[in-house]
Amino acid sequence: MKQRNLSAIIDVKGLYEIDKNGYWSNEMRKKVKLVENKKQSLFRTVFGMMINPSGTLKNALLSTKWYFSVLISGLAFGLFFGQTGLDLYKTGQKGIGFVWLSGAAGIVYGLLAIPLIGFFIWTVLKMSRSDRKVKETISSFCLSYSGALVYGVLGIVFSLALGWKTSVAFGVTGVLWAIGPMIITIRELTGGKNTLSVPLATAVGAVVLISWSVFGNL
Amino acid sequence: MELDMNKGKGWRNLVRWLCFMVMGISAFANQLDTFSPYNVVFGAVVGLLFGWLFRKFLRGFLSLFNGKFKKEKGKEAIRYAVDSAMLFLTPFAAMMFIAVYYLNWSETRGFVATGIMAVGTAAAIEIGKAKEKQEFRNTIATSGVSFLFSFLWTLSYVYLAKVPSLMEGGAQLIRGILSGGGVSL
Repeated sequence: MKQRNLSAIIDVKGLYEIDKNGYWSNEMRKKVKLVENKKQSLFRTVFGMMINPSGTLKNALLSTKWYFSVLISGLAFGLFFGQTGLDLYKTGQKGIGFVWLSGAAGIVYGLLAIPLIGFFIWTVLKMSRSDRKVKETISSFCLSYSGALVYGVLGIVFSLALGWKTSVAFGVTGVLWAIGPMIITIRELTGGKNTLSVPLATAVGAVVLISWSVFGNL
Repeated sequence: MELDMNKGKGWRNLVRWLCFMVMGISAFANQLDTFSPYNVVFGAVVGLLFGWLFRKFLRGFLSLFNGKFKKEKGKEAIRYAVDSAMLFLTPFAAMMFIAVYYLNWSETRGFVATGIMAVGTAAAIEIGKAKEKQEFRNTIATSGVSFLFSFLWTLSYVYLAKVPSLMEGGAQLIRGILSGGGVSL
């Protein structure tokens, strides 16, 4: 049995049970694991949302502040739009100023448009008699773009270091990768209804794809 | 409460068929003539065949890894999990259609690959829901099958994309012979 330190025991506010040898009971270990799970890092949340969204979401909502979730979508779209600007700069269609402008536009898009879509989803959920709070819905929705953030970081590295054109290969793939977690997120929020989560994710995916394309053609 | 697995079965089948057809049609669309009947028919057939094979493999692997569960609940439970997961293709098929027919993109393999991977993840979640515990081996099985099929699509696409133009050429040749015009050299 693994021995644990006292500071961790204090964290669970007196719920501890230690046997005569100073080891935790099985029940105690389960309780501590629960508390530890609740305190998962932002890094773990991002990768968890990408790989195992249904398992990560509940803990993520407890441990991640809403502004961190919004920051994730802000950064994800900042990097995605930034790569679009870089691609257009590399092909000589736009100047360097456009690269900065597109990165900034992406951040604004992720900070404002995505939470706004999250708000729209909340109103739809409200109409379907869901009792989810608006902050919780927006936070979950923004978190579903965690995969896009990971792809965005990889894309910008490949774009800057190797000179690749990455807006479609990494940027669009990242946004596509976010669709799966988004469906699961909406389904979790609606108590497991595919009839609502699939059409909503389809509409959001289409809106994001078209709005990005409009931006690229400006 | 016992889940009625037959409820919405028709809709699930229809959505799945439509998704694979739309993906096939969009993938093999001719950029110069987007609604060319040769490309549309070929794309729809390839999409449906690919979807049928993918579904068979997913069901087969999940049955293999969940023998006891299949014995207890029957093969309907596996089928329900896979068919529910297939609904995840809808956003990818819709976005692919928009990309090809509205944004005029020609590169669509990413849509198919990510869509298929999303179905794999969803199938593992669905079977976990039915068993009331998520198992890593199911995630590995479904991700493995999905990866295999996304690789198969990416690889075969290069060769299959040439088929509609060959079909069109062959049809024109036959039409020419039948109309008595012969073969123009």
